[in-house]
Amino acid sequence: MDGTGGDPVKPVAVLGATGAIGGRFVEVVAGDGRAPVRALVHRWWHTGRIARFPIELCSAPTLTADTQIDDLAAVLDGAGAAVSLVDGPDLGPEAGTALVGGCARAGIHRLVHVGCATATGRRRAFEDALLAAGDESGVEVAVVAAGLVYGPFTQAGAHEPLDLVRRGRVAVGAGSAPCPLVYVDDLVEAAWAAAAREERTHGRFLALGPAPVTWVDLYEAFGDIVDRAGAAVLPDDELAALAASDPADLAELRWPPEPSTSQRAVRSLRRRVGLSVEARTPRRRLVVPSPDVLAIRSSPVEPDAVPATALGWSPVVPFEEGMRRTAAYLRWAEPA
Amino acid sequence: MHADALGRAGIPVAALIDPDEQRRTELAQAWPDALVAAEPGAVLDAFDLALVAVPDRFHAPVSIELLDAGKDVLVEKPMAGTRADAEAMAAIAEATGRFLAVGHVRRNLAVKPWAHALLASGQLGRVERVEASQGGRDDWVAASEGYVAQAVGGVVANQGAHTIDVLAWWFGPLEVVSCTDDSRGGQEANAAIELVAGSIPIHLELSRVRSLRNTIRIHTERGLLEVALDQYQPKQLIGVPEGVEVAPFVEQTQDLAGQFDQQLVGLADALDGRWPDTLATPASGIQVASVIEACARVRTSEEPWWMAPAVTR
Repeated sequence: MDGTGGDPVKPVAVLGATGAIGGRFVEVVAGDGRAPVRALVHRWWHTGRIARFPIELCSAPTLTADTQIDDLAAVLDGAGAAVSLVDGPDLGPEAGTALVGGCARAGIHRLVHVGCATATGRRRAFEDALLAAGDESGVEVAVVAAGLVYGPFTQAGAHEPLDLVRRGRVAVGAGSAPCPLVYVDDLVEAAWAAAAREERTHGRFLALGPAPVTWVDLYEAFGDIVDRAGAAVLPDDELAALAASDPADLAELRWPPEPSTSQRAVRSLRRRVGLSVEARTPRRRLVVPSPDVLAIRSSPVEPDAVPATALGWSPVVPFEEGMRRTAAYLRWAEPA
Repeated sequence: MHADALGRAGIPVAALIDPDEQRRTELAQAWPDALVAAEPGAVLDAFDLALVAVPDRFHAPVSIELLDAGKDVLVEKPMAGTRADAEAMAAIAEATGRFLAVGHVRRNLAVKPWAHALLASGQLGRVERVEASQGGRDDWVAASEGYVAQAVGGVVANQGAHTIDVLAWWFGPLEVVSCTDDSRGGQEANAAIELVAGSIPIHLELSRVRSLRNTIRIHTERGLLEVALDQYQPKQLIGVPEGVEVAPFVEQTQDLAGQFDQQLVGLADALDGRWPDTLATPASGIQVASVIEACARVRTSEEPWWMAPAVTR
């Protein structure tokens, strides 16, 4: 499989190549010599990671509702396949229709979009429009949807959780759904599988990691990087009440709570009679997620979606290995 | 940045030259009193001194054309990507008697001349070793692919030129011992360079994607001197050896525009016969070009750790 519709000379057009997932996609495809890469670039100064490879860089404005089919000719014309990793508030159904229209005009028979399993509003409308426009135009569209992508260079799956556990223990509801985690390399391989597959590939596919991971697992693993407890489990109703309260009131919250008078008395008594006393867990600030984040965590992600294993792909990076690499990356990327 | 600095100083911009038609239209709107042309030859009579801020690979040919036409030149850093090109530029300036300087604008961060004077005073004793690091998610709003799509486009020549210049300015001529980078046939985003200045070993880390300290740490007989490389740190002077009486340094807020303003003052002084410490000479530019060229010549590319195949079940 060369991912170029059977023609090894044609490049893969990559939109969103300077982001964390796009950058990794380029590294894998260009680095392994799977296919020539043509990357669409909006900001030259964000190309450091992908410009390490002898790839084609072409400039075009950001994909928005105003994007016209002709605007995409520079990146799509002559490409064998297109892979989109674009994201952002400017996306919407018009941009989705224009992107598929650009593929149809360029004779590209398949577009792969790496989407977001928790997308709402115009971001989700963009993904739905891709599929609808594909139905109309005959361009096969595979939306590979991921929940939380973690690994090197990812913001939401590396830098942000590290920042959170540096600030304190992250509150997790006792009844939270599993964390829809997938390692960035696994997601890149899912996108590649969708691009290179011989069979007709059209629809929405959900890419998850090899085994369920809880939000507690995630924050504890990031806590290990800074050598502190990373998560705090709270009853769901208690956490929902905290999340809805004034953020200023949350600044003073510590976890675990102060021991009660009776707990203190028992400890004192045990000490006095020479019995062992369990060391107290150091109290840290309690970091409470926003109500929006809690809402996402409370329900399973796309329970009816077709798993991306239908693409002939399977995730191979276990959580422990993915976190080992993420931790190594963070130590490398933020040594100061 | 250059044209804005001229505007703040009240110096008229006589002509703006850009081969791109759309850019010329934008320039004409922004500077209605200036001539706008696609090439220098069309407006040669309009100016005496040129600020050359074209993509790096054009620094040498454009500067040589201007010097040969009898113009004084301030060329952006790096002066050139090879020693031969930089020497050719210096030679034409010498032959025509024209003025040539290199715009290493970060020399104008106030702590730089202060630290240079302190090191030159000998108060800190012998310099034992130096560590410099420069890196962060790049926020320089580059207008063209010249940023990466050229022979001289990686982190060494682009961002690293600033620090290489400072190291050569403070410690003398540099020799490249080794250079390891992460180029995979394109432009490197990360590089680790071992240099020597005389007997002083220097370790230089450069990155377009990592958040590094962005300082120069100078280990001396009397202790550690650490200074900021750019304006983004909260303090310019980060540490001085304890117990050493040094000239006071007054911390100040100094943005990039201020450094360009300062560079313009230095340029005016140099044209007036008083070449300041903060304005890089052609000899300095040749030194930086030599290091860039040597890095490209001796470099070994190391697979970045994250490129290795994932360990799987």
